[in-house]
Amino acid sequence: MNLKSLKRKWERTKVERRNLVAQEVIVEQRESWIDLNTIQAKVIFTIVSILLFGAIWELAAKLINNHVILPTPISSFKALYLLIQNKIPLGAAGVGSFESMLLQTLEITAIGFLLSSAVGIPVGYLIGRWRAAEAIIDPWINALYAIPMVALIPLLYFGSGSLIPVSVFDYQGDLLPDVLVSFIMTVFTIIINTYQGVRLVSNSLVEVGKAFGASENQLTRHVVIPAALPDIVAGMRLGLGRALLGAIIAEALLSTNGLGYTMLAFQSILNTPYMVATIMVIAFIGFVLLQTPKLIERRLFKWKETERIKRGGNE
Amino acid sequence: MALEQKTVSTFKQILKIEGISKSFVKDGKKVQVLEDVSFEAREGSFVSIIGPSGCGKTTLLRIIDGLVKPDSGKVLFNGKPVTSPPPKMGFVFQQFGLLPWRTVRKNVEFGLELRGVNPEEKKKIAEGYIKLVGLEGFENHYPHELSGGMQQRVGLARALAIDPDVLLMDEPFASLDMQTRELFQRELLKIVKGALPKTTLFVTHNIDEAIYLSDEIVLMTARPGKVYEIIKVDLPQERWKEDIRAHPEFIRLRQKIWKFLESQIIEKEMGENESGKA
Repeated sequence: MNLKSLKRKWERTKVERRNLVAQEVIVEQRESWIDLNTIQAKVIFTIVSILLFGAIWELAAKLINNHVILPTPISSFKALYLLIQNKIPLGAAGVGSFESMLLQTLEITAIGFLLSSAVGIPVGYLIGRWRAAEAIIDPWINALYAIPMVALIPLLYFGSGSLIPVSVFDYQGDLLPDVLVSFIMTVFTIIINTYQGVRLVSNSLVEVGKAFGASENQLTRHVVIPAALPDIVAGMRLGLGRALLGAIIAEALLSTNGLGYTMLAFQSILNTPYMVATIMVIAFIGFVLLQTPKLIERRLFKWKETERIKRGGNE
Repeated sequence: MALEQKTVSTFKQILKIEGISKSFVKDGKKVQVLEDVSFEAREGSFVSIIGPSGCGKTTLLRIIDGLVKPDSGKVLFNGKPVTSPPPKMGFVFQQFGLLPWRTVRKNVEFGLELRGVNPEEKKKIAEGYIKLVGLEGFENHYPHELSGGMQQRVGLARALAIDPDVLLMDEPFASLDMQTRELFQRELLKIVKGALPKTTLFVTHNIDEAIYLSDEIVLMTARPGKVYEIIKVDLPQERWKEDIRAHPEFIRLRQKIWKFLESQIIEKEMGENESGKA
């Protein structure tokens, strides 16, 4: 055999070898009765869902026929339009401009959430990784998580001004109690999710890190945190919703502005369409807050693709 | 041929395992897993550890890598006692142990990254090993997109990438199908006995695999694991070149090892029945 034919043979087997490897790739196919892969299909389903809800609402309002108990969707949307235009009905004491209430609620939510993440993730990591930390902190978390946070509000209201110097937060001091309520509502969710994620990191992965000579810091950075990240981010996503809820509750009970306060102000003058309009604003914020991280998660955790549960249709 | 045999046998000892014992506490009872295990590995040799399941083979390998501390005895690597995973030992895991959030390339780079190798060099080295194990074109795939065989190729490339002197392999082919397994065995030999000479310690419970791959086989008893015999495999080097499995010596060794393992397994099961009655 001359050199040329040898070379040709080598090239040929190279291709064969490649094909052999390529065949090993798992190709996964899903079947579905309707192609939900397209965005259009998903949008249609969502619109149908909204229209159906509107129809039921309209029907119920017609049956009840009382504006104070349940306004119709149309009068509620009209109130929403007027609310955004800053046309507030007479008698709603101290309700500020639409921008100011929106801004305050978002501010409390954002600071409550960031504070909760800054505290919750390290604490969750510690108790997930070290038994001693778990023994010291875990009972408190379980106990605090179980008590209704609303019960703590008067305590916060009277205590916060004197306990924590207002200058810690670089904005109006009178929002501090609200931020603390939002924080307390949120932090446990983030701690518990981080804790679960870290605790469930497979020991064999940690051993892989050790076998390749990882230091404790490197184990944290390269093995434990990445492995727990889906749970940590899921906790943060839930935390966003809790932070908003905390902000609304705090405003309703402690504040004189914000969506939570406005909602109750309209309720007290029995202007239900405006109250429903405020609730719609809150619901919309909640929707945006919970949808955005979902998109981020999908991009971030591509590596988890096959571990997801199979559903009708596709992502 | 004769010359090659000679050079192999004059290589120095690189690993010395001296009187390793280990016990675990399970359900409040002490279970002796390993008892006074000693053997040596010459540089460049391929040593398999074979024994019935539960004889502590995996534990032994983890002790050799410094991942687990023995109750007594020591491991000497180039004359120095091992207390934590040495930088010059590479480990290939039974369940591959790939980091699922890292792509193939990032997984192969893992050991280099921990050692602080700079990005360009890291990438260059990783690409070389990815090519060596035949995964060119799959650099940016995630582990879940690969079959078991391909995942273990990544595992091997990752262990080789840190340029180890000793390669520790814990039943690396156990979860692969027969054909993938035989293909992989041949490729492994071509690497550690050819392209990139390494001293290899290989844990398996597959007799054919042990004979095909090894220069020496450490035959272990059922729990507590003790060294029963160290068998020298007197078969030609470069075994991938012929059908070595039909060699009379291969068949003789297979019968010999199977006879011993059979007796161990039967003894163990009888023992379990006895204790069950009592």
